[in-house]
Amino acid sequence: MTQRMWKNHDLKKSYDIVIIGGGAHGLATAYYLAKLGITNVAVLEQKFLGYGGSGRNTAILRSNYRTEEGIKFYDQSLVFYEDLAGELDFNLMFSQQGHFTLGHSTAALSGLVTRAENNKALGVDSYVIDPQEIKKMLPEIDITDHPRFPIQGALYHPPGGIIRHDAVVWAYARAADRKGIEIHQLTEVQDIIVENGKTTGVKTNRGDVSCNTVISVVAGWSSEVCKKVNVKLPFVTHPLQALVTQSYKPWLHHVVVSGTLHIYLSQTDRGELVCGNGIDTYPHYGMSSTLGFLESYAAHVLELFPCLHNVAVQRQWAGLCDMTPDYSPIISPIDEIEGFYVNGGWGTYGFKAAPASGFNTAEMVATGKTPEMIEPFRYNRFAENRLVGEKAAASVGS
Amino acid sequence: MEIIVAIKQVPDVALNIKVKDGAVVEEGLSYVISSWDETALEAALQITEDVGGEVTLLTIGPDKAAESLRKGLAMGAHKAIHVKYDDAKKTDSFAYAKILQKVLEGREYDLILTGKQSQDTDAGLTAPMLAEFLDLPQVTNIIRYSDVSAQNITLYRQGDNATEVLEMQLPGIVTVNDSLNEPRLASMRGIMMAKKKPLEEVDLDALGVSAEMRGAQGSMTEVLQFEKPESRKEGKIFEGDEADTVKQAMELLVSEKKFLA
Repeated sequence: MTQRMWKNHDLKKSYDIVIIGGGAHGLATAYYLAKLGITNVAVLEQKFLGYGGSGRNTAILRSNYRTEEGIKFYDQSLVFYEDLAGELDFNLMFSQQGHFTLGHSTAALSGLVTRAENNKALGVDSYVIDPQEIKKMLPEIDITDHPRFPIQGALYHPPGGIIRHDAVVWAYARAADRKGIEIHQLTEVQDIIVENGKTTGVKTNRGDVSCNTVISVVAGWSSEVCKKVNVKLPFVTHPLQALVTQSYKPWLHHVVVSGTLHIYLSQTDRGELVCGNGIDTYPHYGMSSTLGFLESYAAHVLELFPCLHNVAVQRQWAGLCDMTPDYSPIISPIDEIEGFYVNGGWGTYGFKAAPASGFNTAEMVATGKTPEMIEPFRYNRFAENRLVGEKAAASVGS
Repeated sequence: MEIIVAIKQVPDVALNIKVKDGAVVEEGLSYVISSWDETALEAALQITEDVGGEVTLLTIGPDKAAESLRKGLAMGAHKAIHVKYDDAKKTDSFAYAKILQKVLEGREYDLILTGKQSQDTDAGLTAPMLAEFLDLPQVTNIIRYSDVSAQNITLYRQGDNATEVLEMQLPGIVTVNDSLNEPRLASMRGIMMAKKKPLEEVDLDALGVSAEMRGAQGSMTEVLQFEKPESRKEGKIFEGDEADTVKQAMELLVSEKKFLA
């Protein structure tokens, strides 16, 4: 009989640590906790593993961010990803095919130059190239002055690429399971129990569980989980829509992103184009697909690649993005509630951050000290006015 | 060949549809063209690509139904008619057929195509009633067609032991089975062009549809409530090697389920 990827368990009455959320971040956190020898841990997932953002992204990995804090953090994640297939013994189909961020104005180019310089200073391979060089690597792209926003240059980031997102979730789940972590699907945390300022357990649809540490790793649902303990953090949830086309002969060998047009696309090994757009302009939790998104995406992508006019759209989906004011995450203990940690605010950057997020969160919880790498992402940075502004590195602002 | 394709916007049945207090919970639903109607649209597009002519989409529904018309236009239909109507919940096939009759009287067409039923109610009554009201020939649930001319079309219906082959005079009404074709996907260019295609909005008052013809008043049946089908019971997975799992399964079938008793 084929060995199952992870086991089902009866929910115990007590664990040392409860992780809420069975996505890439929650499972990575569990895996790295187990590597530190902490295994009396339950991952509680209200639906199924990868139901949320981990199954609803466009699987792009990169580390060409803008701030020192952001670049270091996302680069640690990218370096983890480079070795992850070996470490987890699972083919993650990571294709480091190179990543273009197109600039369509002088202001955009100047932003890209800043990012390139910051990246280089921190050892991240990333540089600005002109339209002719872009055309050499992307022969189908329109670099003429015909489009409304002609291409003036691009930030090219060779180590960026795409990965098989489900595989990352499954690989972390299997590895965590093998190390003794319990994974519980269809287990909804209905409340978090706090007594005298200390976390003492959670109430679930399968019964109460006592624990002295709860880590919320629920991305788009972060506000809802924090509400259970009356913690108000500046998360605002917006859906982001994406689509996949029918399969075509391989022609697009790099990830292409345009911050001005708010679109990005890449081609999978199966030949489909995976395409994403900006976030929906108003906050909500709906995950339905709209025709407005299709129209906007088609209009913009045809400006870059007129050859795509006959490409047929196979399927659409939407995921939730927990945006923060500075477009950087919150990975932090909550001082007011002992034993309650938040890992969220990933916005549109979540998938690429999963390994570093899990690694540092695990260390933070295990040692009780926030690692230097994620110190800038503490929740009180908003009150202390030390934001980590990464909006300029986003391709998807609204 | 002028073809009218009547489409209905329905909740996407691929999503989990919830029922609460006897009504469908609308929150979180997403809406699509009923799949049989998409098949009808594909057939209409293929016929006009073959013999020339235009495809006009027609739907009755609220503002959001326009999105389904745009999707149909993105697939390749030439124009669309949107009959604005908000009282869908209390309206049955009879009332819809009467409204469609009003919309279609005075319009020119050779063929009306639609799905054999809609995905939400599965009633399959509107098209046959409309055929009666318009005094048109009708053939339902076709799996194939051939020999399309300005005057006639040959249609194939699947029976249990044989295929029924009929010739129908035009104009007429045909409803389609989903085995007829595989509807095309909209292309990027199609999606862009759809925005510029004519979408005519029709107001029921201007059409002369009286209050008595609408909603509960115009309907002959009434939906009292919706009930969710009973969910399937939890399955059981046997662990172990083949011989062991077969033994466990047999024990369960014989002792607990009394399957072989």
